[in-house]
Amino acid sequence: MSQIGDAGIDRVFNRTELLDQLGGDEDLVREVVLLFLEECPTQLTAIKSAIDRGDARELYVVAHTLKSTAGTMASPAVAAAARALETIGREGRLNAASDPWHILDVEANRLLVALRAMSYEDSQGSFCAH
Amino acid sequence: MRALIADDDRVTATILASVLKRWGFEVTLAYDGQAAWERFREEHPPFVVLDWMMPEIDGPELCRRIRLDPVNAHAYVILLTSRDSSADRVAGLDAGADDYVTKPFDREELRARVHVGARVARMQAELADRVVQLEQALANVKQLEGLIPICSYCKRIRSDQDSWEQMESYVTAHSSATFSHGVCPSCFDAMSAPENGKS
Repeated sequence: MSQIGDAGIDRVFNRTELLDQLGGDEDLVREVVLLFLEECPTQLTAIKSAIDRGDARELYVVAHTLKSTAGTMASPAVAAAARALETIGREGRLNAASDPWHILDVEANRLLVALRAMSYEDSQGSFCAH
Repeated sequence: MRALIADDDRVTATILASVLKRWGFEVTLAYDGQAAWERFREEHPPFVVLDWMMPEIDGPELCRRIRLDPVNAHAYVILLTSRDSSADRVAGLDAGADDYVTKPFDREELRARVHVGARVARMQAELADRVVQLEQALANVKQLEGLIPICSYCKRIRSDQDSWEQMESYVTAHSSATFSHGVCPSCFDAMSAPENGKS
């Protein structure tokens, strides 16, 4: 099990909350973590591309989805950063997207690192159990 | 009971599918509005969970289409979304959703609302079956009513096909009544008087 002991780790990812939300189903937690590890990089690329192209609508739609996913995944920092970009996209203020994008990029990559580490530790734990 | 889940967020869709299966549903998943609409038309699920923002067709538009569907307009629809303003709730319910749950959803709240929806969907199915049975029974009921055109002389009745038929055959065809033939006192006297006269 992950032993990342950073005091701010719950802002990045609250595994206990996610496990509780999923009814204590460890298999489901592993499944959604792997799915998020697949989906999130694609969403980040789409958000950056939308900002670069000046596509406010696309920014709004993808940021909205990432905000929802991050909230479901008990990842408040990423959810908050995505919400900021969702608002910018909805209001068409792409000239204000640069700093919020930077924050999202940092928070999302922090989350992905934490999830990859957790998945690795989980897989090692399963291996050792045998 | 079959449930259709439509959400372009595969993480949420996976979680929803898992919890609904745990609560006894058979689940169909769709990741965009067009696929959801096609699966709805194919499978007629009585229970539907829709995300608001989806590619192709969004949740509220899907609600509107469901409410116009000739086969399954009364499916129970829950709109699931992180759009949580009062105006959004009103728009979702006005579009035809039966309930509205905000993301990230609380598992216990979702469970309670899903079970309410399942109860309503079961009641609707039972009512629909009862209506079919009543309609079938009604089709077999014969009823005599309205204005009946009858000849003032021979007492034959003009039927639906514009022919004139004997009263007995008309009444038998248009009601559950049957005839028991006898002779009334006046006719008995009239018919037996010549015989009495002879003797």
